[in-house]
Amino acid sequence: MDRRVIILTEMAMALALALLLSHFRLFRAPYGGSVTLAMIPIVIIGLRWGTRAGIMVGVALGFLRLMFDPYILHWAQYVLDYPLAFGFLGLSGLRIHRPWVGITLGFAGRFASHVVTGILFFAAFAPEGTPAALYSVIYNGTFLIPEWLITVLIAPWLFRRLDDNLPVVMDRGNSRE
Amino acid sequence: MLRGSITIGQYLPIESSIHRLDPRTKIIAVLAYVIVLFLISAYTGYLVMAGLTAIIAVLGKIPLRMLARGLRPILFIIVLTVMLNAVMTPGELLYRIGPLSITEEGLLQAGFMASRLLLLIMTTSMLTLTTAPIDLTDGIEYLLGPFKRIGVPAHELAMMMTIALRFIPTLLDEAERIMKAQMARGADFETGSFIQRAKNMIPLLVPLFISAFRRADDLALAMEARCYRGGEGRSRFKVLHMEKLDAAAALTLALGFSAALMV
Repeated sequence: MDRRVIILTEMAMALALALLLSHFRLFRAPYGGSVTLAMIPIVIIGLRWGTRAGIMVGVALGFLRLMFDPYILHWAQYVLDYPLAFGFLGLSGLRIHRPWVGITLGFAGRFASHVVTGILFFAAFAPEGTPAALYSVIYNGTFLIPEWLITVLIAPWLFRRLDDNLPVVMDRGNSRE
Repeated sequence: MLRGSITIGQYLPIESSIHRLDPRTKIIAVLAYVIVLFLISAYTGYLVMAGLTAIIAVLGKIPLRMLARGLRPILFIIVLTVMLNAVMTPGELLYRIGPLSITEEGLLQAGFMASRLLLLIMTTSMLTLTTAPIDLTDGIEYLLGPFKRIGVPAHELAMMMTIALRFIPTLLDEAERIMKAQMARGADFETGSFIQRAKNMIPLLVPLFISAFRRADDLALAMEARCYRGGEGRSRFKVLHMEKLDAAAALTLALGFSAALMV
């Protein structure tokens, strides 16, 4: 079979899983933002098919979230909070040392995009002198740190389980970018 | 248990002139609306924008309660913004509550910010209320088309989203079945600390992921059997058309936006 078609359908299923899981809230942070397992499918695609595929699933998740729960508070947010933030998670496909390194980099990127949106939000809506950067870091940290923790714990393990349990349709050996 | 708590998408399938507009027109209109909203510096401009929003809501036959429901998640942010602005803007003193002083300029500023937030949320949610997700996906594919040259995989992104939209209900059923089966074996998905709850999800995640990825392989086979080979030269069942209605909408909005920026 054509490898590109398999990668495409796996990305699509991972995207559907991510959207589904984003509605399972494990924990709701006090001021909005919640901890979910939605990042796991993106990370797994990154691990299975490389960075490009992972980023594509992340970006697509960003678009779909933007469609389903639009939460626009600033014009730059279209890009920063949605496609870019989730796209970063595809960095799990970077094969540096161990899976957790890429996953952590991905979360760091997502954290940075959310923090920048937060700062823009405060700049647009709050009076001057508000410690915007500090608020934004705290707010986003309350849900991203726990989410990073569970993703880092579950995703690499689940990735190996999938490898053991799925029929080998094609060799992924040389597909890793 | 899942069905009730998960509503994916908020599309309102009714017949209206706003529903009939090309998705591309609507996406661009919303992008432009949000940017214009941030360029406005006078109250009168907001009145014009509010007028446009009201016209769209009426033409789109969107019930008021749907719009109000969209505002619920940002209530906290609106209250926070109003309070921050009212208290922290320097100016003529109106009231003093302990160490906090509310100024006239502060109240004006607070009203300004609150209206900006309200309009932002109402108008962006109107896009998803009046456009089916599949149409939005199509629209995104067309709008990303020009970026193909710099390597943006517009077709793959859109195809992926379309397939995902099709399979969300299937996977939701699957998840529900697995949850019931695991609960019959004593699994607990509802209680415990958050680490405990994450751990409890594992008996759901493993079978759900395996079955979804098996489905992906079957689907790839089915697509190849029908000669799918990527975006180039693929024809469509439904082709997007710009109509006179789209031109009329674009013209009205362009006039409205210019008016809002000038007053």
